[in-house]
Amino acid sequence: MDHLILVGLGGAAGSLCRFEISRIAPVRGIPLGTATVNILGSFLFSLVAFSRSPGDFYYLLDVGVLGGFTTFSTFSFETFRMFEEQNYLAMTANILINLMGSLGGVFAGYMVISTFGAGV
Amino acid sequence: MKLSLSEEGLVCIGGFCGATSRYLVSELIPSLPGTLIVNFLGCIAISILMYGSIYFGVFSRNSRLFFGVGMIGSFTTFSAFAAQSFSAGPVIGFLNILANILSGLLGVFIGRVIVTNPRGSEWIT
Repeated sequence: MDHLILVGLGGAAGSLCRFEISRIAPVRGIPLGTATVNILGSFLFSLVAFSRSPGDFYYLLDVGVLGGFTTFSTFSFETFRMFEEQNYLAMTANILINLMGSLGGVFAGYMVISTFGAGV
Repeated sequence: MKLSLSEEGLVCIGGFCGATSRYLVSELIPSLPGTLIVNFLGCIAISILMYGSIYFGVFSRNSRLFFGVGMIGSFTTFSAFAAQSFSAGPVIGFLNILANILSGLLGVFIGRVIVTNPRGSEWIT
C-alpha cells in the first residue's frame, strides 16, 4: 500500500492511544503520561527499526503508529513550563527521565532483536 | 441540530495529518536533520496554541485536541529522535540530543514571544 496512507492511518491510531493514556495519567508533578508514551514508544520503535527488512511494517508501525504515539512537542512544552515556574529540579528530572528512558528503551529493543531476531 | 466530531475523531484526523506531514518532510530532508526540523517547528506551534489558550483563551478545547494532541503531537516525534541518536554513535548522537532539546525549548520560547508580544492576540485571532 502507498506509504503515505500507511503512515497516516498509523499516526491516527498512535495519536488516539497517546490521548487515551494522557486521560488516565496524573497531571501533577512530572508528566508521567508523556514519559510513558515516549519510553514505551521508543522501545517498540526500535523492535521494528532493527528488524531485518521490515518493509511496509516500518511505515505503518514506526513512522505511523509509534511516530504519532510518541511526542516531542508536549515534552518540550511541559519542560519549558517547569523552567518558567522555576521548578528546575523537576525540569531536569523530566528531561533525564524522557531521554534516559527512551534511549534505554531503544537499547532494550536492539538487544531483543539481536538476541531473538531471525537472520541477524 | 449540531453535528460535531467526537474528541477521539478529532485526535485521529489530526494525527493522520501530522504523521503524513512528518513523513513528507522526512522525504525532503531525511534522517536526523528532518527529525530536528519537525520537532522544532512543532514546538513553536504547540507553544502558540497552548499560550494562546492560557493567556487569551482564544483556542477551544476542540482546537487543542485537533491541532495540539492530534496534528502537532503526531507531527513531532520522540521515538525516531531516540533511535536516530542511539544509532548515530556517541559524538553525533550526543550533539543530536543537545540540538533537539535546546531547539525544542527555544521553539516553545519563540511561540510564547509570538503570543505575548503586545500585538500577539491580534495575530493569532
